[in-house]
This record gives sequence, C-alpha cells and structure tokens, in this order.
Amino acid sequence: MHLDESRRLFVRLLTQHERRVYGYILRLVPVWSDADEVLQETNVRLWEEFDRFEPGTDFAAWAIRVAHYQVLTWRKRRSRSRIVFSDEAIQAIADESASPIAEIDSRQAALEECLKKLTPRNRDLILRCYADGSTIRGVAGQLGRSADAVYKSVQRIRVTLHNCVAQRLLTEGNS
Amino acid sequence: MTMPQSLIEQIHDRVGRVLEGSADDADRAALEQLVASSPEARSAYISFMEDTALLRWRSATRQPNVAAELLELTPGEVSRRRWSGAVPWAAAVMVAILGVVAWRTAPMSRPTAAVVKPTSVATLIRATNVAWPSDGTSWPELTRLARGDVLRFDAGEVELVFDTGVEVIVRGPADFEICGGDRAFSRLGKISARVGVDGEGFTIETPVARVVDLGTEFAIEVTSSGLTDVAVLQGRVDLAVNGSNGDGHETEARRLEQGEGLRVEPGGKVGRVMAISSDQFPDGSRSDRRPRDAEPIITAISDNSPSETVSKFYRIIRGGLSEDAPAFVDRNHEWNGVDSLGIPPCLDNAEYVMTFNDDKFVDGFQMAVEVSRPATLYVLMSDQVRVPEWLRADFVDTGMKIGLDEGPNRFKPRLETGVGTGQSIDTTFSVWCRVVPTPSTVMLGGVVPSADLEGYNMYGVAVVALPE
Repeated sequence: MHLDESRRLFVRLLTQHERRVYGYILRLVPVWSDADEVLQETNVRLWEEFDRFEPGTDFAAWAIRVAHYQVLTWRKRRSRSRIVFSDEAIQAIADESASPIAEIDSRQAALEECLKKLTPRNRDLILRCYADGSTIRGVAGQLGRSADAVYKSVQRIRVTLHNCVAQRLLTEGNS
Repeated sequence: MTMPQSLIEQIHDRVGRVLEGSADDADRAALEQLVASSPEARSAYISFMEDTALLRWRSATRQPNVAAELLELTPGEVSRRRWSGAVPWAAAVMVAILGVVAWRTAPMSRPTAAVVKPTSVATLIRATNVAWPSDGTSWPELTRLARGDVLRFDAGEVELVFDTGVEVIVRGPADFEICGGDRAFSRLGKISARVGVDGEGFTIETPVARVVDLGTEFAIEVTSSGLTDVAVLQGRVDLAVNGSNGDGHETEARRLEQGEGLRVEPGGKVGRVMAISSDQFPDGSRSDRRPRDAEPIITAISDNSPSETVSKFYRIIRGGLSEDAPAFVDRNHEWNGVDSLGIPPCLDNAEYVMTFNDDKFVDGFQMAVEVSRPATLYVLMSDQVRVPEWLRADFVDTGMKIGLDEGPNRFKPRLETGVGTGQSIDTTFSVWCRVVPTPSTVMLGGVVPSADLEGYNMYGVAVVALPE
C-alpha cells in the first residue's frame, strides 16, 4: 500500500517546512508542551485543508498563516492562567515575525555553524538541555552539578551563540 | 546587529521557567512586560526563540512508525477524531499529523535526556515495489531515519526527504546508509538527489568518490565493484576521488557543472559518462512533467569529442518530448510549439536526446546514435545556422517547425522561459527526418554557423518507432 500523490506531496512539504512552523508557534506559545500540542493541531489542520493549497505556491507561508489561527483557537480553549502572553503581545510578536523565509533559513544555517564552534563540552551541554523532555534540573542531576550552575552555563552559551549568529548574518549581509 | 548582552540574558531568565512549564504568574508577567517594552526587545525575543526552536528541533528523537494508521485516514477522518489532554510530544515530522493516531493507539512515553538516542534526520516517504532481504530490516513508509540506519534492498525504489529539504530517491539493488542530516554513504544503487538552498553541502560518499552538492539535482550510480557514475542534472557539485594516487587519499575536488558527468573506477581512474537515460535513474522530476513510460529505441550515443576536455553527457528521455521539455543538458532552454497549435504531432511524446549545446563548437564533430528497432529519426536544426551537407544528403526537411524557448545562460543571463506552446519562443528549428528501417547506428555531423551570427544552438535529436 502506498501513499497517494497528494499525501506524498504533503509529507514532502511538511518535512521540508515543519521546523519553520514550529519556530513560529514557539515564539507565540513559549511552553514546550503547549507548542508541541499546537504544532500537532496545526498539522492536522494543514492536512484537512490541503486540498485548498495550490501546489507551486509558498507552502511555508501558508502553513505559518494556518499556525497563527491555530494558536488563536488554542488560546480560546485554555484557561487564562495557563496562557503566557496577552492578545496585544501576541499581535505585536506576530507583526514582527514577518521575516522572509530566506532570513529564517539564514539564521538557522548560521546557528548550525556557530554550534560547531562551541567546545565539545559546551555543545554537549546545550544540546542536552534542549533535548526533548529534559529540564535544567534533570541535566544538572545527570552531571552532578547544581541547577544554578548549569543554568548559568547555558545562559553564557546562549549569549555566545546569539552573538555568533548575529555576526555571521552581518558578515553575510555585507558580502 | 549584536544585541546588548544584558537583553539576551534577561530574555533567557524570563523564558527559562516558562518553557519548562514551571512558571508562576509573576514569571509570565515578567516575560510579557519584557516583550512589550520595546521593538528592540521584541526583536531580540523573536531571534532568541528562533534559535531555541532550532536547538529543540535538532534534538528530535526517533519517531514511532505510524504509516499504517496514516494510510487509513483521509483528511476528513482525521478531523472527526477528537483528542484530549496533552499529546505526548510533537517535534518531528509525521507524528505531527499522526500524533492523534499515535495517541489513539498507544501513548508514547517521553524520552529522557539521560538516554542519548539517535537523532532522526530524514523520513522515508515512499517505498515502491521494494524487495527487502528476508534476513534484513524492512523500512515501512513514513519511518523516521537516524544516523547509522542502513537501507538495504534488492529491488524497487525508496524516496527519502531529509529535514533540510534534500530529496533523495534510491533504486535497488541498493545499500544506502544515513550518516547524518547532511550526508549519506552509498555502497550500491542508483540515486537521484534534489538539493535546495537549505541542503547545500549535502554529501553522498561512495567507495571511490565523494560528491558534495552545491545546490542542485544530480544522479549517481554505484555498482557492486564500487564504480561510480555521477551526472549533474541541474546546478553543480564538487567531486573528490578516493585513491587516485594509489595511497587512498582524496584528490582535490573537481567541480562539475550542469550537464557534466564523470565515471570513477575503483583505483581512482576518471573518465567521461557518455550518456544517461531517463529510465536509468529514479525519476526525481515532478509528476506533471514526468516522462511517460516507453520502450527504449535509442540504446547508445557517443561522439568524437576529446574526452580530455569534454565531460558532458547526452541524456535520453524516453517518451518525453512535450511542451516545455528541456532541450539541452547544459542549458535551461525548452522545446515548445511555435504557435498555438503546439509541437508537431509526429514529435509528441517522442523519445528524444538532450544534447549539450557546447557540442556546436567542436570542429569535425560526429555523433553516433544507436537505434535498436525500426524508427523515424528526427533532427531539429536551428533556422539560424546553415543546413549542413550531412543533413541535406541523408534527411528530408518535413517543413514542420519547433520552437526553442531559451532560459538564462552565461551569454544571456536575463532570459526567462515561458510556459506552454508559442510562449517566449526565441528561435525556430526545422524538423528533418529519415527512416531507419533496421536496427543500426546513425551518424550525425556538426553544426555550420552562419558567418554573421553571434549566437546559435546545437541541434536536437528525436526518434519515433515505426509501426510494427
């Protein structure tokens, strides 16, 4: 039994663009478990609406638009106490998230390069801390370090990465 | 612009507990306040979260296979299913649309950071007529693949999509190992790869060569002896050869441009790939311009170009001549009808040869076309060049025309192709023909430019089988 052409096309497009959709959702819903949930709902919605997608047009832009409305729908179902941002903040973040896909891709490529520049120890630490299901406290326990020490280390690494990415993008933009 | 360090530290402070779900009202309020404080803070927050998402994404662990469940669900059925509570997790590909299914069948447990699991880097999205070995692993459709996974099969095709967007089709018999998100090792098999901007640098290694993609579409065939053929269909690649010095070390990479192909033998000897055909490699083209299945008519093509200086190949497209069909292996020109009536009916769906346009510069050029059964052989000769003697002597001018829609090239970078018959035609070609009554080799000559002409094109070749 094989996926028919439509499903195969959907799988191909989703595989290629899902991380961008995830990035968009996470900035509006900055809780790991909530963002995962919204991503799943978004993907179900994308599949439901896929007949309306016009092949050859920008799948990522379409998917992010669907994700935005899925975030709004999800927020209506949640109790106010579980929601991080106000409606105004959501709108402000969304308004400033209109970066072209190419810019997002450049950032991701730069981050990959900057990860390679970290020491093996720092790279291992940052990837452990952002692995699915992990917490700072949990990683600290594995490493036999205090949560505060791990937290501070991660903070330093994130600043290093951020500056490295910014520098690479600046250099790229000038070349 | 580099953000002030303190701002990034502040964002990290505010986001930390929120992400893990352990934030209280004060934590959430502090994050809201920071994001609302200024456009600069918002911009820094967005960048920070983009990086956060990527860090999380690249740690996505292997997903359970849920292909069977997907195949049972249409979009409508998916939408009718209800789900409750928090889904297990959803970072990677198919679980996303199928998480509802995974939840329905068996709740997944969250992996813990203490267990280092292989990172999934690609998805097997199609397995067609695949014969998996009885003593090996079989990989169903929608399986997530991680570094170290090896696809071994005796026949059939699998299609993979890497998370970077790289699309790879492997035809068996094959032995194809995933070495990471940006590399694979092929010990055996025929491979087509399509690499977008995100995937530049994608590398396929074979026992004798390393192919580094620079944003392109290419084909590779690896035989059981390790002999490797590489053909660049679009863009360019870097090809490094193992062991050509007899010491196992790689030579300096050689850049191959669109339309170039090289064969690397075990031991490192390098030669030209003379011709490839559309049925030789898996078809990576989109379905709407996929050549139709057809019995082969042309079985071989060769020429007398010096192999020391020419490394371009001919590409035989079975049953593929239609509107907007690519004309040359080394240009982005297309064949089209000259007007609203379309291409001449006798050429519709004909088997044809994508020649290489630089052939036209070779003095004393000769091309040998091996025809395997009775057929009509057509030569499409530009009206901008003089009719060569070899054509006038052996062929008949049918009076029919076909158009060439030229794409951007090094001489005319601003050109664009149109879509459909009669659109954006730059030059017309006359259709000449001759009957080849028995299987034989037909010799064709070179192009004779007009004295006052600056730009002209190589001819095309097409064949149509005679009725039996």
